[in-house]
Amino acid sequence: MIGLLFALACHPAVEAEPVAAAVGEAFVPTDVQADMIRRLSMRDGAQPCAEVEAGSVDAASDLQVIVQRVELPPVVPMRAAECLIAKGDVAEGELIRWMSGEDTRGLAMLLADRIDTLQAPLAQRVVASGLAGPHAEVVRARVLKSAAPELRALAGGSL
Amino acid sequence: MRLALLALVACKHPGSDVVDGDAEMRSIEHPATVSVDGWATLEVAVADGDTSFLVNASGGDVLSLDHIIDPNGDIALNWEDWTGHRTLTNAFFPCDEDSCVTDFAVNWPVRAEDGPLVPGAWQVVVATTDPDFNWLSGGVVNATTLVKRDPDLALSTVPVNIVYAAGVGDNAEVVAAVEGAVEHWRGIWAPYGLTLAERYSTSDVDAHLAYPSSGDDALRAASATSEVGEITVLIGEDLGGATSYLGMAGGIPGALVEGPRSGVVVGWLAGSGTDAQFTEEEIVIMAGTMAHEVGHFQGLLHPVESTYTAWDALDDTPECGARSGCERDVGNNLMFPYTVLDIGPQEDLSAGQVGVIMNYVGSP
Repeated sequence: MIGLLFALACHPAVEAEPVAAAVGEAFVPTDVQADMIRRLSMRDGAQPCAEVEAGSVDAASDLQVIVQRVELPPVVPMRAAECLIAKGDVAEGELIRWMSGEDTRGLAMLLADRIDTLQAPLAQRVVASGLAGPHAEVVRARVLKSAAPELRALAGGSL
Repeated sequence: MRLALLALVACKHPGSDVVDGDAEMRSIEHPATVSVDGWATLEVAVADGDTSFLVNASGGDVLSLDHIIDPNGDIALNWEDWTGHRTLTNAFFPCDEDSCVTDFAVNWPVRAEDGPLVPGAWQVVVATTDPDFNWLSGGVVNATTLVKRDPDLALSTVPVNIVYAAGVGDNAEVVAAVEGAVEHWRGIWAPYGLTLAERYSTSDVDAHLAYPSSGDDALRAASATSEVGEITVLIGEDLGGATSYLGMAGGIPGALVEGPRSGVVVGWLAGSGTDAQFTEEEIVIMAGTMAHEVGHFQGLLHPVESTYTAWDALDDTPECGARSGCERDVGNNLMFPYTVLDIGPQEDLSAGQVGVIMNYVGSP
């Protein structure tokens, strides 16, 4: 068990595969995803990510499905994204989609606020995509508050 | 915080010319009270016709309500009677797993069956402790008590000050969503004799709001723009550096004088989802969040907590014990702890819950 926990904790961020969204199809969550959605639906509280993920054998994939396919309640995909960022288990392509997608402004804001949790090279590429995308203004404002001088510099701040 | 509102507050039934009478509120400024053996006793003079009082206390130690003594010398409320799985007020509980508070509010009576208020000298005994609940003597408790005289506890016009944190009021889409949510909130309350009397303000507090705590200056600053007796609802971008919370109340019940937990905080980003654009459905959910959090501030607990193992103190909200049963029996209640879309609107209030709201001093 300890070995499994260690393996999960050390899972590298860039190895997880993004989950393809079946655009246009009605989303029917699995029972596990439905349980996770409910746990993410608290009105004025938040269950720890570990509790949200407890029933899933592939929490990262389930959380990515929730981010991509669940719209309501709106807090659900946002909390799922927070858990994914905290796990460090999001593929670079998915992070860049959050930063630069036309309909992902909320995810871009969320990710830009947590940009310091990413490893430096990845963070720089993600920030660059955000600054080149449709949410550049909100991304720039947040990255300028980063603790990392090189990220602030990307956003036009001082080193 | 201005005291002008201590004049009469006229309450009018929505959509009619029926006036429910004049509710009156007055303020008692207690002298600084020194704790002896861990207790600081505040005296509240209740006159004939007074219907409830709200003690707002603060100090340097961890503060909580210990007990309330009525004019006959009988204990009307004692924390030792509320240590089980039913909760009447959070005034008994100064600490959670993360921190303790050095301020609290208690409204009495809480439920309809806890009243009516008997005229005479009431005593509210405040416990002063350290975070490990060791009694502390010598600490000073400062308190203001608001007393309500409300001839009609079936109707109420609730004054609410909606305060936009820095920059939020300049975001036209967020402002439109908030105003839309407020209109829906008005509809949630109307069937229960509750009228929302809102106004809007702006503040320069950072839009990244903290969770309400005794050390928070944002709610203190926002509540300073409210009149005494007005409920402050502070709209920011997010709470506690995350989007995990749609909103949070500064107390159950909450204080109605300027203070670090004197209000409700709402984060708009979590409420607008991954695209940060509000749909009609999201505006309805935001309305529910506002009404839910203000419900806490007015003294309502969740009818069942998210673990399904603890309940409020009301007899007319079911004591369910599992998710499916709870969603069936009480899922449509405004104070249900989860947003559940497939069971219909979550906007119901029980008669007992309405009684708690009507007893709250901030519901004149």
